[in-house]
Amino acid sequence: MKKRGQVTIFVIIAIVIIVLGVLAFFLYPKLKISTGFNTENPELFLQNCVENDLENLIETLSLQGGEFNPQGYTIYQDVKIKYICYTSDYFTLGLKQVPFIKRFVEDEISVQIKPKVDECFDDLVLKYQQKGYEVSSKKGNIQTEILPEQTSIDLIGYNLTVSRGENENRFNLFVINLDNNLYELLNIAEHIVSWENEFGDADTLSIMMLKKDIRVNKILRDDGSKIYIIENKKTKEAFQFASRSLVFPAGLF
Amino acid sequence: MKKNSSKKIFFSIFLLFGIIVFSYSVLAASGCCEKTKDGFWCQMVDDISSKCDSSNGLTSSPTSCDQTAYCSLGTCINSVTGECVPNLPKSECESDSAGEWDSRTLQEIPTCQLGCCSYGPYTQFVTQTKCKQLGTDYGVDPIFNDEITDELECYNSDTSYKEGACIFENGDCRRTSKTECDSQSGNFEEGFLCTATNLETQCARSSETICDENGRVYFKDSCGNLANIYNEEMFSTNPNAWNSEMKDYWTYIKEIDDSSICSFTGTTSSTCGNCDFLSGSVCSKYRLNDPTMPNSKPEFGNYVCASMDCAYDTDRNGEREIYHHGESWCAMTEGTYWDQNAYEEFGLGGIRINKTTGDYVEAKILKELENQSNYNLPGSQYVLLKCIDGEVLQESCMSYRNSFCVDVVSHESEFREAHCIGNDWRACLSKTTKKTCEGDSIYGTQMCKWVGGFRLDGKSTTTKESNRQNIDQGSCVPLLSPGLEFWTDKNNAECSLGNIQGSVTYATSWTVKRDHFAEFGTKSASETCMNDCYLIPGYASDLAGSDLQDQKAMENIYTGGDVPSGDLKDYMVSLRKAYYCEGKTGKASGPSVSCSGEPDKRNNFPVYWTHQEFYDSITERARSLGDCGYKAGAYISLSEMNESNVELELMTVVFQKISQEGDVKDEDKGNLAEKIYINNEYVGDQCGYRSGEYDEELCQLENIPLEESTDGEE
Repeated sequence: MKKRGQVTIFVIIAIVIIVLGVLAFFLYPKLKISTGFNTENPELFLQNCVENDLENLIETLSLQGGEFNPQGYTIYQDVKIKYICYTSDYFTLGLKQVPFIKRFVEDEISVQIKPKVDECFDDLVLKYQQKGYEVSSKKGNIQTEILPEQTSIDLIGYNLTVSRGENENRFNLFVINLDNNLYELLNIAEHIVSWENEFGDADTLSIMMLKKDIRVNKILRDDGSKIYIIENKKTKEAFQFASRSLVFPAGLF
Repeated sequence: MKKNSSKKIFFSIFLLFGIIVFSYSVLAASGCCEKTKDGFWCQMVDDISSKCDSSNGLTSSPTSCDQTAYCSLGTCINSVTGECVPNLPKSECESDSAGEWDSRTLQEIPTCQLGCCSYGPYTQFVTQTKCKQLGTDYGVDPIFNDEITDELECYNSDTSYKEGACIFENGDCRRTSKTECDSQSGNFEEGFLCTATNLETQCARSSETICDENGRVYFKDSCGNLANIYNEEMFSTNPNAWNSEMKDYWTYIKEIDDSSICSFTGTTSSTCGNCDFLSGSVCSKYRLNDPTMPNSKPEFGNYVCASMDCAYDTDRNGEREIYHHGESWCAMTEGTYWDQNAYEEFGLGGIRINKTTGDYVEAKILKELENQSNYNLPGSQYVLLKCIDGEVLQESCMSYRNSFCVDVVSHESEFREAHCIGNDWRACLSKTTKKTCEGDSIYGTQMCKWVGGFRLDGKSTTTKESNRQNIDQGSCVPLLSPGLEFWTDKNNAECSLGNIQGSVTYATSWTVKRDHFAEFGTKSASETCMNDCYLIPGYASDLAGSDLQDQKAMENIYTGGDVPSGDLKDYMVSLRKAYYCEGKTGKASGPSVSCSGEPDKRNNFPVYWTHQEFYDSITERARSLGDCGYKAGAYISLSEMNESNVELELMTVVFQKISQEGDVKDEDKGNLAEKIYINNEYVGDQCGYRSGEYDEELCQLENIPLEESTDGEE
């Protein structure tokens, strides 16, 4: 009698666990994602596959002034930081070294993330094939858009046709999104660079007075260069870049 | 024939050599790179062949960048977004596929004019095309107002963004805009809150509060929507206490400037949630015993308007002072100007200037800044502090004191404001009169000072009647001494601006052997001196109880007056008439110099009367010109030589025999007798200064008694 009671309890516990598992599977999408591949939603697979790398890439770019292998940089705390405004001369205003910063960073993200996107796309094809699908695929280009509160990667020209039996599905609209505040940080960077280019310095106090969640640190270096660190106080995301403009030497010349 | 061919060979070799040298000189020429190998656009380099990137059609030329077509500056317009970037080189702009270069300035291009862009709840001061792009980015219809031409006005302007209640079929409700509501197929009621009873939504009034994105405290309804700004009088837990005003407050969306919206003075409030970020008040979760919080907790919810003030110990006395959000002020840093009394009285210890005139607010600030031994010492740097949202951030002014911090004082406001302003010290060196030196300034803030004495151009402008006080006999030097790289050779030229080398002629008797000038004592050197006697260490110094360091007393002798008491020989002054009068020889005796009483016979006045005056002047000038060595603890005066570092300032006196014509005698050439003075004290050469083997123990600072020499004829 005792044994039967124990078995019943175990059965009940097992049922509860299964029910909770099923509920969690439907209620928490992320949990669902982690279970792997959903043939109906290849975009989700790509999002999941690329997301971490994209996040790391954006973090790296943000630390380095928007360029993965910075050209024209200064080293600060062992990080190569790109000069977005620069002159090698004294007494002169710096020239903007990147015409449109947001566009520059978008292009850099596109170039750097493409290998990972292609790798994930190949994995996706493989997943379908392992599930017995016939797959026809074509890769295309990457276009990045930095938008308010998110960065969006459009896979343009990427096509995927999967078929099994008489069922055929075509997928050609792949978008990978990452929530972040890079858009706002780059807007402020653009503002600061304009000031540097026009006046040789930027008034960070007025920026912080108008933007409640933003902290701008200006670090002056011995050679007259400045490192600007624009930080979102809430999310701790930061974008930093270097500028050298209107520098005065030690001495007359 | 043979001769001809060898000539040709020689000529060919010469030509080849010439071509190589010429090519090398051209290739190594300085000029403008379209892009450097380091990746910088349009930079001047010292060697275009090795530093310019020539890949992908990039070029360079041995001219300045503004003379090249590829580095001409203009406006770069993003053909996609409409952004306009001024001052961009042509080639750089066109390197971006969206870049369209226009040679006009930004102000000349109609599409680049800025205006106020309202998009959703936001505003930004941008171009019309950029405004459209922002609308696309945020998914809203933007409104561009080109009549607003000021960024702050734009920021404070009303947006056309209207919110209301978006009601769904299931009774749910969201506070949002019409566009967003339409996109979600809701029924939009502009200006209404979801708690409006006539809308019959499932959202109810609630005592809970929340911070909005602008830092204000809002009531929150039971569906999580923002209601109106928190006002403790607009909610009650007693259903019978609700009056029509309260019901109205939970029915309609109230604009910030609506009369029913509460307000408060100061920076903290637990009763009203209308916090003003610009005034230093922001929504924050209430914390007990926190100085930034209001005294009491809120009646409803957990959020209050908290102060964004900062507490910071600027003068490092162990007590933190309070600064308001947005305030900036000068820090106390080693070696820079600091006035503790002013700090205690006004809360500002830095260099205070008048906001309207740019002038120093007190004459004593200027006076104190002139003391180059106290302020602007080598290695010192001005630092600006600013209070933002409870946090004090530091910002250094430029290195080498190329800029300095000023506390800007306004009579209209007590709000602290400081700036790093450029130290325009280079301009001082080209000013040759006291008036222009102390009068000209860019900001209205005096940046130069006049040091009477030698001129930087070496000219002497003294006359028989005028000494240096009133005829611009002096040097214009920086008021705030700049930093120089005195530890390298880089700034030798700047440091040498303050160098002085002078010569004194002594008269000796033909009966006295002239080889022992090096052993002349101060007295005998002074008495036999015939020109520029102030160069003699100790000249006109205190002797026999009479103080002739008083310039007036020396001027008196020079113009024929008597010494204070006794005879001239009782003082350490020249007894040679030639020192005082033109064409005179012989020795002056008695209480005065007979010839100098007549202005037409008198020599032009010397630049300095006393050695002390000379020394003070050249010391101040040299130190003001920049960091050419250590300053603090160096020579102060003849009477205050203790604790000085002997290595700081040296004066070398060289003795040579000269002929009647003033030339160094052949027999004495290469046989100079040197005397080394440290802090005006003769230490001889036993210290090993010349050999570079300085020995402190060996080098005694005691004044070595010198032999008296016999007077003689010139």
